[in-house]
Amino acid sequence: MNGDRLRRFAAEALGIVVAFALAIAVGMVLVLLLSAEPGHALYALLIQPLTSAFYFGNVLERAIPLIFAGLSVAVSFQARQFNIGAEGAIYIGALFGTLIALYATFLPGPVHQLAVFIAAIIGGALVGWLPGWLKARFGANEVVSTLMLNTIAIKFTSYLLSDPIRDKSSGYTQTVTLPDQVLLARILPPSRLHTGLFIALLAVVVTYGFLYRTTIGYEIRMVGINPRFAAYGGIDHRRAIVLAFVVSGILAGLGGIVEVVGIHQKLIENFSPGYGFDGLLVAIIARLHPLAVPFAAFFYAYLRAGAAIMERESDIPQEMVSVIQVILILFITAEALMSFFRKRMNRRTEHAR
Amino acid sequence: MLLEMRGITKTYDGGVQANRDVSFSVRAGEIHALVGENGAGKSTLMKILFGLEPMDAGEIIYKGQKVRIQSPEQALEMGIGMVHQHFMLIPSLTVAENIVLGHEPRLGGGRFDFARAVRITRELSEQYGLSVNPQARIEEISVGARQRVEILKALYRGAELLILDEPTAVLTPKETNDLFVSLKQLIDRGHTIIFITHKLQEVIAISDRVTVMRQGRTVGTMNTADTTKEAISRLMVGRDVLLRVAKPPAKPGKPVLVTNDLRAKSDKGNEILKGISLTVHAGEIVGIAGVEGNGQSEFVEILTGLRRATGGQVKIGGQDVTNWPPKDIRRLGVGHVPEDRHVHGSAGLASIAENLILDRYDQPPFAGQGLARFIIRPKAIRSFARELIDRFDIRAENELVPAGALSGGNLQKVIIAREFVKQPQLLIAAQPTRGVDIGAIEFIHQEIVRQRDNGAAVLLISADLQEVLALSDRLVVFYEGEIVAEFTDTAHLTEEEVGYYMLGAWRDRTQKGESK
Repeated sequence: MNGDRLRRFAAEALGIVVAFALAIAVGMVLVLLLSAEPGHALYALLIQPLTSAFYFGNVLERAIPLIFAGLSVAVSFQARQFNIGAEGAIYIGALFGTLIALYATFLPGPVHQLAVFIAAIIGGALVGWLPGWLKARFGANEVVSTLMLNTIAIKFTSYLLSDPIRDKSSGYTQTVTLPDQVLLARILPPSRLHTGLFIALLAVVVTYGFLYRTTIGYEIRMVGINPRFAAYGGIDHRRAIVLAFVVSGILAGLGGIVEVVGIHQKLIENFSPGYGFDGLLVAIIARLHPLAVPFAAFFYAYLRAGAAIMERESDIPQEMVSVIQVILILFITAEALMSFFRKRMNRRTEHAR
Repeated sequence: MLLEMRGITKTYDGGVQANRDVSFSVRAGEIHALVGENGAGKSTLMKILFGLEPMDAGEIIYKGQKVRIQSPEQALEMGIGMVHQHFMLIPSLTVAENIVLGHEPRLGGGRFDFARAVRITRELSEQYGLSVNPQARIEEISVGARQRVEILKALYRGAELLILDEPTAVLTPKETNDLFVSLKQLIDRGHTIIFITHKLQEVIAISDRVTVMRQGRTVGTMNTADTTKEAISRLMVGRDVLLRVAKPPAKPGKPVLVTNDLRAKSDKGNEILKGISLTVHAGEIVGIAGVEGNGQSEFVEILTGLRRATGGQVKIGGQDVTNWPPKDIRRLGVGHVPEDRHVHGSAGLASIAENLILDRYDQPPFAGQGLARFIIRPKAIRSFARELIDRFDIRAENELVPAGALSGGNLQKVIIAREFVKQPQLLIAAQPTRGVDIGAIEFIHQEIVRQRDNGAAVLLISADLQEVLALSDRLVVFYEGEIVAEFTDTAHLTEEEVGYYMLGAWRDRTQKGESK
């Protein structure tokens, strides 16, 4: 990385950090106004996630599905496709993987585990492909088609869990605990943090490579930046769009199965509290850059974990954090703020010369 | 002095120093031409004056008082108005509505008084001799009329000092003349005009004084009467520029591009090409002259696979390529400089390097072979880009700068580099030098001639008559979707003669005697 790029990167990062600081400052003011014991609440929100391995593990384990979902959204948004189908792909990826985990037990351990992931990839790819193909072939609006597909995916999973694959001995709509050989190892007990973290980080690198180091990634990005430029250059924009959707679905599908074999160890109805939608926020905070996604996911997960602790230990409810999130998004999307810092940065380097 | 700008300094986000300690002054009642190459800092200086960009250092003294101009609103309050290169009008509204927009006359209850808006427009129009139809929608009127609307809009807001940013770039020669007459009338009524341009004959024709900018600095201000085109162009580029294109006679070879009775419909569904038959041989430059909107753009789009023909045939290198996809046409060795460098020609947020590999990113050395054919090789791409930046004299910090941060002329060079470097057998250049500075124009013209001499068939489409006349070995004129004239001897052709065909005054070359 040369100096110029580094400088631009630093300016961008600074802008994001300041946006976080401002959003948290607003949150602090709210807590001060609302809480009978604000110091205690703020301590729980901001500091306590760092105070024990358990809490910190909680932060990281929450970050994992957010990384996958953030990457998923980043890929399709880079193609300028407002694909909000990550949630559906999470479910179908989880479902396909779970089916293999439950019924392909004849496979030897590592092969079985690999098959689980491959199944999730296939499931995610299918869910991604359909709206992509509809968009490229018929011009079907992807916002509508992915939203509807989400519902289908979630309800279909619920249906299977209501009887066909339900653990009949339990009173819940969930499967039996999956075989040990497909589960991911816990790495920071007593938290549930698991080796899925490394898979997520690997996915970050692979996604970056895909977007910036492959011909298809180039096509996707050019179609996203200027579709007419891409068409003029002979890029098949339909293929690029469909592939962006497929890759986006694969990433979300992987996120789904990792959550199942890492955290829950079984498929549970409505196991995702909207990670697919949180992924939108994560991707936007990361400005659609895959390498920034894990940081955005971490901060986001940190806030969420802190909020859970705060709710338990003080008189402030979790929803407070939603306020902070919304403000954060407002600040992040405010280009003005970003360019202000970029300018400041330039001026300073100018003087330094 | 009406206006004095002193020590203006401005550095953009990307680190581009657009203005360095610029001083610029304007006398009341003059037409002051501001000239310079693309990226010389003219537009930036005017944006600062109009409150569109903050300055980093310097001061502005207007009517004897030091002022701070932080928004166009403030500039207008002081009496400074600007007409931009790209018009900022609302197409679906009428002329009158556009003119009063933001300061609408009101009836009781705050309702918009359309009748009075029309009256205001008519009065302004008569007062300044800028004829417009107040009730026409913007989308229905010509480019020249739109420009008059922009000027009237500024006058309605009380502008005494008018900034015109390359006002003639979009006008036909006739419209340009009309504009000049109107500008003189404005001066007679006590207005002052700053006129940004690239075209030196316009400077000579209309301005009282001229200020030349180069690389972000002012390099001279002169009385127009005391200077010459050559002197100004020397100041602009720091060396003598050939205003004529030096080219040996063409040696046409075998036909490369052949179209036969080519037909097409426009986006609105009317017939825009009514049977175009044209042949371009290897080693010759065929120019297409014509007022914009007479089918040239659609013709190019069909040749390059961006639009479907409804009838007829296109052959390139002997192959029938009618309605082939763009990629396959490009693979035959077709280079295409599109008419709009922002719409089709570039991806602003992508780097220069990424812009340069558009039609070869999937081929060695930029991609691997065999299994690795999907892998892009950044090193090869970057060294390729550095080579082109060097060879085509693209002024940029490095190859990773976003294309959108480049000035118009430099961005055009990126496109020229991409399309020329592959030594195409057919080169289609649409408006290759539009809005580009003299230094770059000369360079682009030489490159086009060089392509021809290397055996390329060149099809040149330009709204700039001088350019078509200077470069073409053969010239055809498009009018309403047809070829209305063909000239095989361009050396003795005058602009006026071609102009008659372009405007439809004469139709068939053989009928020239009769229609006179």
